[in-house]
Amino acid sequence: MANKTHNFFISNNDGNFEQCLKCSICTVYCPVSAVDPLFPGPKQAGPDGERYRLKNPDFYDESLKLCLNCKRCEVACPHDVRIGDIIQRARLQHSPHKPGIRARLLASTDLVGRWATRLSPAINTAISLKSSKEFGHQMLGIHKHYDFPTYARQTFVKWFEKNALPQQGGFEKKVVYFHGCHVNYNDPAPGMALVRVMNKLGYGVELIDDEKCCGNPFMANGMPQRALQLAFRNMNSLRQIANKGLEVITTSSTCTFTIRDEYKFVLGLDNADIRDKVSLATRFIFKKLEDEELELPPVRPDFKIRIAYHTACHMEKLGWAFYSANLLRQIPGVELVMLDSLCCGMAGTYGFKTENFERSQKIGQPLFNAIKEANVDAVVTDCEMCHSQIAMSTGMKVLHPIEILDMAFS
Amino acid sequence: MGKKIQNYDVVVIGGGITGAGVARDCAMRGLRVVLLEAFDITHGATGRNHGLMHSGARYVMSDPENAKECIRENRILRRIARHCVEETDGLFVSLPDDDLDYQRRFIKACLKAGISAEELAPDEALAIESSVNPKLIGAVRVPDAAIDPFRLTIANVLDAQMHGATVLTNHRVTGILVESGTVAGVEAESKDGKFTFLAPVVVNAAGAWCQQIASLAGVTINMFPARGALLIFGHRVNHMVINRCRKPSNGDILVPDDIVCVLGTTSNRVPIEEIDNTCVTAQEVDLLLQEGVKLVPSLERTRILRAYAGVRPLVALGEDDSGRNISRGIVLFDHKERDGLDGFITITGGKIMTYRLMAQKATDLVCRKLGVTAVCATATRPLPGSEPVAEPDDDEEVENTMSFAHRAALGRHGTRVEMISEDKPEQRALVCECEHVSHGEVNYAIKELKADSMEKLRRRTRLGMGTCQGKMCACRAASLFSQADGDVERHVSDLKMFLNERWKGIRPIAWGSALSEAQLSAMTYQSLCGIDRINYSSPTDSDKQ
Amino acid sequence: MKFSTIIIGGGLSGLTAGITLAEQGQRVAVLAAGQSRLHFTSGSMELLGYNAKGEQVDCPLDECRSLPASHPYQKIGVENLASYAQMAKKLFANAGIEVVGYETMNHIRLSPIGVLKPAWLTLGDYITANMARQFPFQSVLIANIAGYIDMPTPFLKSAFEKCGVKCRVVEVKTPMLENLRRSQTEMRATNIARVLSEQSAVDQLSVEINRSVNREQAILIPAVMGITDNSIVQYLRRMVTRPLFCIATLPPAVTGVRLQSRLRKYFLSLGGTYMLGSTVREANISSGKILSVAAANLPDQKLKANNYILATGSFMGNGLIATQSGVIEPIMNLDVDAPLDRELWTAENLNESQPYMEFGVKTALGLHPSIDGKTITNLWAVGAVLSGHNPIKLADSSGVDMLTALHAATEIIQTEKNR
Repeated sequence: MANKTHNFFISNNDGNFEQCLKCSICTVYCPVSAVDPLFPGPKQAGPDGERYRLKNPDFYDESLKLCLNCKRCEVACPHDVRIGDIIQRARLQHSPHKPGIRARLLASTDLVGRWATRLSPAINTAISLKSSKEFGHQMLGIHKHYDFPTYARQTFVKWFEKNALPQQGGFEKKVVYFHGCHVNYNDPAPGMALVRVMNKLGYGVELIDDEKCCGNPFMANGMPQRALQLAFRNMNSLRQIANKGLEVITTSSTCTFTIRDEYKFVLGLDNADIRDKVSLATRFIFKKLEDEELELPPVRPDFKIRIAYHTACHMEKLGWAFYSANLLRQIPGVELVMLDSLCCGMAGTYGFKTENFERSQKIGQPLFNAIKEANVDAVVTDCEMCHSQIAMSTGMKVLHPIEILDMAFS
Repeated sequence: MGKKIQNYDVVVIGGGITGAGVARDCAMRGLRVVLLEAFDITHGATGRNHGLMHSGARYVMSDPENAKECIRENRILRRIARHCVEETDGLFVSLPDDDLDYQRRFIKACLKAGISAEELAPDEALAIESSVNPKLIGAVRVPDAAIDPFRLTIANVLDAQMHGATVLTNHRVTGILVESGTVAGVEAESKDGKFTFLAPVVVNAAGAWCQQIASLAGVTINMFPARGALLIFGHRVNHMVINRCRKPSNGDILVPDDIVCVLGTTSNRVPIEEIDNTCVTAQEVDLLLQEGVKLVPSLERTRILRAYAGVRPLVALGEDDSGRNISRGIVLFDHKERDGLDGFITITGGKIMTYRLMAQKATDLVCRKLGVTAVCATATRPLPGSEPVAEPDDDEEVENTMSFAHRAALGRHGTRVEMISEDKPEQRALVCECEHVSHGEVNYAIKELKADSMEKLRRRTRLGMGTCQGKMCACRAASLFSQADGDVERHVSDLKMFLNERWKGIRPIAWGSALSEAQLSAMTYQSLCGIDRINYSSPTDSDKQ
Repeated sequence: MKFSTIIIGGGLSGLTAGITLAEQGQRVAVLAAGQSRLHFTSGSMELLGYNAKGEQVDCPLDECRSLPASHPYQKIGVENLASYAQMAKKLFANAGIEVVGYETMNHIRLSPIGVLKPAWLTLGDYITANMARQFPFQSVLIANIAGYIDMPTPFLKSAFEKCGVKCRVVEVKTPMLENLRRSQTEMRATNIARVLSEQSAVDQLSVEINRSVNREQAILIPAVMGITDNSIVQYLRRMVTRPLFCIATLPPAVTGVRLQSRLRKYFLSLGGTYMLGSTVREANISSGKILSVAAANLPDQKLKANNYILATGSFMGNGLIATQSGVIEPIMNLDVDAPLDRELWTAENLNESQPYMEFGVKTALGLHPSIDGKTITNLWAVGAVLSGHNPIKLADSSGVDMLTALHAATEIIQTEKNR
């Protein structure tokens, strides 16, 4: 359980920001300051501002809320300054505003999802109604143009228990799947695809008994204590799995990134023992193929698809787009166009918010243009929120890499 | 500066805190005063110390009288120089190597001198100051604070000027006029030529250079200058002043200063000929670090921005030239009594903490000589920037609407931040990004604080004092100066000199990020810009040493 | 993951090698810790700008012959420089980067503070002069963007006037650029470039520039346009009434970002793998050969290749790390040329030759580094990580970056052929 006195910021002030050489390379790659001059940019909001905030927290500036936490500044930084983490921590530590109803609603993917799936037809109708969009826009600050993800009729977990669980015992090799909230409540398709693909590859799939939201939405919406509670519970579950000698795979780049890196660098937790036990499914499969522990099953002969791979920000930060793209390249019939790695502007729940909507669309525009020019059958990405944003903003079909594998193998 | 000969009641030599304080006191008592400084205000020891606002505790064991003076002045400065002081409190920490008996005696001595001293258990000390070595065995809380010597001196100069004083930087005193056993004034030179300042009283407040100035009047003072090296770290590691609870020694004090912290200090006697040498050696750096890390372990992985050294103006009492009888307290010489030279006064020794008292003592003597009866009011009148502010509620509201840079400037200029305009975009634009110095603040410093060179701008704003040591801002500032007066060659030379001056402090600590930063700076200014290829025949700025 | 060649470092040097190898059909991976030094460059490449005496060099190829044996050019053979220089130029052309200049004769570039420096190749955007310091115009208009403070116009005006060129400075404002000024800090060259990537913004700018120009023969603007290619600069050129050129700015440098992005794109188009944010922390070395390397963000992933190139740069690229007590090469602890005594690293005057600038990886034979005197035969060190020259005093940094990379690539191609 979360320790109330856990001081997530002090335990992590290791002076990393002092490695900054003030070279301003990070500012070149910030998607927010490119479209909004009111965001002070990663250099000012990050290491430069941090020196002042260490003197006096009053130097915290609400404009830091405009940061997407995309970490593209960190990827660009040649000196390993964790600029995004500095900003994220400053927000959690200093923001004087208590999270409101909207923040709680957007963050509580697990709780809201549990209720919403039970009532999904009604909720989905309500979500799409103009009047409720207007209500959301006016009262909650969730932008009306936004297609809030609809809720599945049946959670992924329910589907799994009913349709997949019985077969899983028949496999010698096993792998544990961390499905995440979005697969469970909003879009079970990548999860279902994963179970089928892993079964095809000879792995039985297990779920985690007590899977919790990874906590990322709570960090993004100013609720660090709640994020800590979730992190503790997940780390506990993951430890037990690791002790059993099993590996955990995921289909969400953000959940993966959160557990691996944000637990450590934003929440200040020691996750060293479980960090490398959590991997994206595409990376897991790629590596097994590379080590010749696996062989790809036959692909149906008529399979042919031209896809564009979009590197989600957190994939860029993980440096793992390589795995997904190169796994897809190995599938006969797949023609892969690698899009320039650009932010889609969604950043979890950021793009939902009324005040961010326009900015979010502006940020994504270069990517949307590139997608339109790519002339492909579908866009493929590892991130569920990029999925929503790209689908809504370009009208393109968007799929998860595992869904492509599933299509190819079926 | 038109007239070559000017008349004053008193000439003050030296633009350190003492000279500035004397000029302010004299001006407030209605005297016509001119202050002459060879370089810039705070050029000497004033700008080269750790900025500790002594409670007196540091000297309570060796010099209780001095300590009492300190705590009295400490309370005054908190009132009159609010914007220069940060009320941090201080800790005296005992480590396993130290003697707890010393701590007991220390507390007793503090209380006897009227300095509050609260003994803390190690975990209590860690709870209020987490940076301190967790292996500590004891701690004492005292009313130490941090004081910014640049701001304090500038505020004194400003107030002196507001009371009619003339303050001239880059004016080197070349001679003292003596007529039949009485001082008649001084001769000085600047880039505009030679000047004579006639006055019946001359106050020698030249700090470590007192001996040289006195010799111009044919008077012998034996200075025993002591050099102290210090390190500036890249950010604030500590929030309280941290002292080692033992006899003052190397690397035993860490003072927070605005957004950095300063580790002091070494102490080495230097010959009078070497007081202009402020370069720090690798050995001094290593020694400071080795000791400092014991006090605050995280210093080991904290970036060092620069190293610098100052020279304490210690003086031998009487005509003793052996150095055995050295005062650490205030030294006031009436050279009429001491040497038979009327109208000549030397005020030296002491410390920043007691500058006001030093100024008062010197000015009292000046007044006696001039037959003026006005009394000293410097202890009660707030300095410019430290005027009382109406309601704290209003204050808070005002601050909230301020930009980040304005809030940073508020710390530097106190209430005078109102004079920095933020109305137009060109005023809001940041020139120095590390220290958040806006174009508006640069304009204020040029116009109101008489900054006419990069170094002067730095001392008045902190421009170029941050992490990158001028890499981002120096060229921007030089360009602004050029736009103002069109003298491109002067400002390009000045830019080159400024970067070289920054380099002096970086060199002794040039490893790790500091060396990488220096290389990036060199690639920018030399490789990209080619500033090393510029050689204008005669740099005109007399700020050059 | 197995490659023919793995290149550690993704800047000018690493990409030059990567492109050359990929053009020959090699499977190449570039591992870059972050973005590169190109972001601070001027838009010009230098082969050799000054000789050891500090005198300006007119014909760099000729002058290279008199460089000391420790200089990287000597290590790759001065007789090879001409052909490598040709290869470098061709590489730019292949990548769609337009440059002007000759390795046989330097030209003059205008630095951001108005110093005239010799250069080898310059991007077509920029104004240049000949070695006699003659510009092609008698009068110019500098049209700065209002609020842009990283180009000191008074210095530039004075520089032009010293060369006998009349110069007038104006500031231009447009609504789209004024919007950017709401930021206190982000009126940077690259942010301006992002605003000026839209034609509508450039249309507004061209109107203002045309309104400002009088009788001047040419218009000069800060290099704040064209972050991915120079098409938008070409567009502005068509919209204004005089020939238009750029002047280099202080960092971040838009054309440097463009160079980086074009080279990377070209490399990717050749099938290369470019991993950004992958800091290599260790190498598995056995009997004088690297077996694999590992990146911090790809734990438990062995990255294997036949050949390795170290293009990690100097101190500012973390290719070298200085500690309180010595200089190290952080990935493999290669032998370095640098004294232990810290006081010997620097000179008192900033503008003198600073010894640390010449520190780098020791290479005995050609470009092969060593560990404890033992040569690593499948590793080549290229670019700024090499010891033996002062890139500031000689003005040779991009030349060393590219030509040593081309030398390593050429040797690797030969090695692979013999395999």
